[in-house]
Amino acid sequence: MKFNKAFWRDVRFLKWAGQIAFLLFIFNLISNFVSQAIENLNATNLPFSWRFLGTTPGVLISEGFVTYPESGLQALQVGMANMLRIAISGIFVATILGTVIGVARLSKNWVVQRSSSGLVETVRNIPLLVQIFFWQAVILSFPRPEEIDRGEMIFDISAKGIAFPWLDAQETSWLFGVWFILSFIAARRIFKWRVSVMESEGREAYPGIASFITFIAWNVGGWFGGYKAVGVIGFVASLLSDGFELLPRIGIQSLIIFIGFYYSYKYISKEIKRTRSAENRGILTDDDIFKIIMAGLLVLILAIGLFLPFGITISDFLVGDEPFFKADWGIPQFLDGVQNRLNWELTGEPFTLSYPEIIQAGQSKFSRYSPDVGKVMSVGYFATWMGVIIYTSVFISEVVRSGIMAVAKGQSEAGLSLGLKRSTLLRLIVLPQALRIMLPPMGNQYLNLAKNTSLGIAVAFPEIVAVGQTIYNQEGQTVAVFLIWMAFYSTVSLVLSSIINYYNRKMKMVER
Amino acid sequence: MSIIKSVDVKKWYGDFQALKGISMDVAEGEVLVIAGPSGSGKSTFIRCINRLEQHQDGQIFVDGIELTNDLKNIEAIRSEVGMVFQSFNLFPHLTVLQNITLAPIWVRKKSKTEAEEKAMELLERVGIPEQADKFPGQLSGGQQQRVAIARALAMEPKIMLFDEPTSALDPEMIKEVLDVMKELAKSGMTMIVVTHEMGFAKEVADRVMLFDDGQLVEENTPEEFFNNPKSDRTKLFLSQIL
Amino acid sequence: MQDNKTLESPPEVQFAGVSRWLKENLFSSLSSSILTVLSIAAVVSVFRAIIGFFISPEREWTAVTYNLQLYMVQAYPESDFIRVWITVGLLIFLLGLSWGFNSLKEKVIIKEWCDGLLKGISSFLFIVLIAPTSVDVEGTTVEVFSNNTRYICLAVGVGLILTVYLLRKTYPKNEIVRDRISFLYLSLLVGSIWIIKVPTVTFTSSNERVDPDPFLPLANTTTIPWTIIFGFMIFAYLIGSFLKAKGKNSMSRLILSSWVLAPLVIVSWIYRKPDFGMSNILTLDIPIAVTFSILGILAIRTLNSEKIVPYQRYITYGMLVLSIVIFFLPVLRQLKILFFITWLLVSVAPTIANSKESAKNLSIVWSVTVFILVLLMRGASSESLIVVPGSSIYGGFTLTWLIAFFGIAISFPFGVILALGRTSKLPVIRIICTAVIELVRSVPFITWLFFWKRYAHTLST
Repeated sequence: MKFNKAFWRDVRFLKWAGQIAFLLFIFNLISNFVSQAIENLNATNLPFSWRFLGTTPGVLISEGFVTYPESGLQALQVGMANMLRIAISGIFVATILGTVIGVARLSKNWVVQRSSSGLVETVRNIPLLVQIFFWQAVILSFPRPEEIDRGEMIFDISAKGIAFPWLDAQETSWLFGVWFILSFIAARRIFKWRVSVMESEGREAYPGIASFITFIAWNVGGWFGGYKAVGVIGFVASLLSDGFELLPRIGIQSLIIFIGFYYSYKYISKEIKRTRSAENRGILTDDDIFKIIMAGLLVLILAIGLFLPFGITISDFLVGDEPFFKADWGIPQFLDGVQNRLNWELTGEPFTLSYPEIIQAGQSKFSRYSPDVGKVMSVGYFATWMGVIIYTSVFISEVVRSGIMAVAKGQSEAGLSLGLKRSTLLRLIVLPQALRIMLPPMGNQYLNLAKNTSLGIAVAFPEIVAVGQTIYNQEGQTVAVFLIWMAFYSTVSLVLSSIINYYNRKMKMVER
Repeated sequence: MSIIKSVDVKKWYGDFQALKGISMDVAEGEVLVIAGPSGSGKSTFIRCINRLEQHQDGQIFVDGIELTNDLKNIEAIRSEVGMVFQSFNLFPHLTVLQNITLAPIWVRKKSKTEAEEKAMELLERVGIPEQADKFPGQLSGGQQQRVAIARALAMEPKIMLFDEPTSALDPEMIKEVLDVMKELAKSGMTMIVVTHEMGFAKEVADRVMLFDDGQLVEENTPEEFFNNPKSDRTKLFLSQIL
Repeated sequence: MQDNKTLESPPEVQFAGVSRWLKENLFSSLSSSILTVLSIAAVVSVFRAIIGFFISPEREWTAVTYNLQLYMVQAYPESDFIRVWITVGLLIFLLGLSWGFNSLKEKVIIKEWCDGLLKGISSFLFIVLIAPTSVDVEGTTVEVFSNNTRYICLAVGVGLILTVYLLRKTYPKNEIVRDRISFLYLSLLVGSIWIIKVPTVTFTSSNERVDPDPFLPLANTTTIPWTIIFGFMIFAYLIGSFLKAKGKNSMSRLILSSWVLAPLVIVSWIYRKPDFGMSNILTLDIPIAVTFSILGILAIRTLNSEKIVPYQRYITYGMLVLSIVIFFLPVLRQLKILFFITWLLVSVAPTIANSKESAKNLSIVWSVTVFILVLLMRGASSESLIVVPGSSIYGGFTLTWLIAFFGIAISFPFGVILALGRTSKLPVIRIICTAVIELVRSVPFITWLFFWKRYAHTLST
């Protein structure tokens, strides 16, 4: 690079000088902001620390996989799990409900079309918080559970929540779970096979029925012992785990760093190749240089951070005064877990059905649902769940409706003029195109749903925000909790949007 | 024996009457060109023939079957009548080959290999066999319209309807589409063509009709139509278009 | 013959009838019929449940009617309510003015209007018909909607339907301006507050709550101001229409700037009751404003004279440096801001005021702006004379619309800057903007709420 003599007039110089100045300005802003906060925290005798993650917080979480968490980290994990429970089941149900409402709005039946339009217009103009309170009020207007020891029930609604039977996991449930997932793959394979038969031989081959029968047969076979086949995975895991035992810890760290270096090398070389393939051969843009520097820096930090003895200061910065990140990243423990759960020597039914019961709450005269049997959907869970589902599904219905309507009328006309049946037309022409249009806005709705679960705090549902608030009220570590919130939600968003982006790229229509 | 027969066909959009009683018939193997100003109902009429639009009064018979609300009749007629649209309407998410083989596989229940052989044959006929594995978005307008013709022909229809097939094309691409249509006309296909291409009408049409304001104004042989029209409306139309 | 054919009307319309409509829209096929029956059943039961839920005595609606004042203005002192009414009146006056000015004077055919009304009234009748008579409150059945009330409602509804139907029959083709319909609705609304009675909580002399809650008419302190404000609105509407008819198109800019200014005036002067001190205004504000407006006018004049033109750039830079220096000097806040504004004027004046006419216009705009700014700042920086125990003077609905207004006003330019930054060619700026956008939007709003609350908290301790 050669600058002009009058470098202050050189565009390249000005560009970089301006950017560096901007960077310094932002850096200064943030550091002022942070140092002010840290100073004030220090003044209140609560210096920034991650220590609370390791100590017992002494809080009670009303629901979750653990109610008396042993550590701050575990408490937050319960919150995350509760949030994910609502988000994942919510996305699933809201998609189905939204599709039904969206299709209903396109129905030719006047009542169906009008009532679904009415529903959409009403629900989307009411703030979600109000709706969550509404659902809470609905469930609280049911009477309290009165009779104690009524015995096993099938279904019960009261001011304490909704109780229903639930499958209790047994020793072999992990084995069966994997088997169950495999059944989907098998059913899909069969479906594709029958479709190909239908296409190549030109006769009806019943792909839907065949795949359904496969699914049922596979799972029935699995229930009565077929799941043992999954034990192979456990066996492989035990072999791998033994292999890891042989490797020294430093070896694992080296492996991780090697993988990091390898991928950044691949990334950088891909970047360079991409720019080379264009006309400006071999010239890296500012952008490329910046990306390469960033990738290099990231690997450097990773390398220093993982070699604890050498990079003690950075690791201190990253994990605080009490490192809780395991240097081996928990890989051997994970493999051991897999080995124990997917063990082919285990026998018995994978799940048993248990029914809810009403018991006395402690020594008081009040009654509640037994936490040990059946499943209880608590008031907070129900209100948040219903709120986000109904609210999101009307938005999804709009996405579905506009997606279907956006497929040009000419497409269905062309299909009809070829003599296709309406159902075939919908399946082969309209839906594949509508799905492509619907995918990005649908992803946005999923993100909104995931974020909106945070309103559960209003009805005392212990998701991550509520738990985090409890913890920082207790421990005073506001900044740390905020960082965890941000990291968690950013990760959720990132994962959701990369899934959506992946499908979006995969299904993108080829244009000239 | 006429393959298409319409008796006093009427059609309204709301209060606007688009067709005001069209009676005509087309013989097997005949090439009929329908001309007329825009909004005269000519497109509406040929869309009524394969029931993309419903006529509300009068009768239409295609190959001896009357078009009614009976779904079975409609599907039977649609598979006998091919249609080519002004805006091509190819399926953008399928390759050219899949576009053509879709209907033979799902409607005619042909095997995939058989349908593909036939499709390649048709692509040869319209002159673009090398584009078989491309997507419609990668083709030029003229090529897309030729694929659309091949797609309609893959159903081996008895009648082909063309709804302004060249109106959306650049001038240099019109010729390649018209050449395919001329070749098709010479092979003895029954065709109804709505078009503004009067050269095409002169060269291949057996009969020319003029629509205006939802009515059939003139029906004549091409020579008479262009050189010695009966009605004043036709003279006015020809003076504007030529 | 041709004419005969054009007059022919479509067969659907000729033979249209209830049975045909029902067949096409509700019972076109077996599955459609089943769907119709099922969805009618679902709609009716859901409606019954929701209506029952809302009119159940458990809901305690008196809490809303009794505390309506709290919802609107929170603890704003009652002695200063005239300020609240002035605020509402000002905003509604502006609303009427811009409505009158921008109205398209659209016309509606009476028949269509009646059709809409008929739909509305029949929905009301539907709700009245299916509303549950009694609801279950903790095991006991309570009557919430007596059959007598239902019959009265039904009779009123049917009466309305007949009236509208007659209207529709008598004047099928006549047209009416849409604005008049809107005014009719509004006057019905304003009229209704004189008649309507709401459940109120009252106490006996021994401070015991009267049960059941009596229905009382709205207080005069509510009804009279609203009626006057409604009158103002019609007056403003007429002024707006008059100005439009006179072709005063420059008014549109004035109305727009009034809308921008109104919330600022409300916040700084009306709602706060500032303890401004007349002497401050006379000795400080007016001299400052006069000085700056003269300065600005001089700048506009001189900047475009031929001698100065080559040095325009340096004057702008010099002014920027000067205003930054003054910003850090211990002078009046008014001066700091005025110097910045002057810098803005100096930098835009050469391009805007390039002719005599536009220079004159800019001078007027400048003087007015300076005076308004100085007065606004005086109002905003003076102590408020209104004392609200334990909270801010803004509360309830007032706070809602204030946050909405200032939120939109501030977030819009900020959003534009971020969007431009994200599309910038400079990688540092683009990446920082992208990072800010993605981080902020991926985290739920309530988290940010807590974040800023806690941050303000740490700063204050």
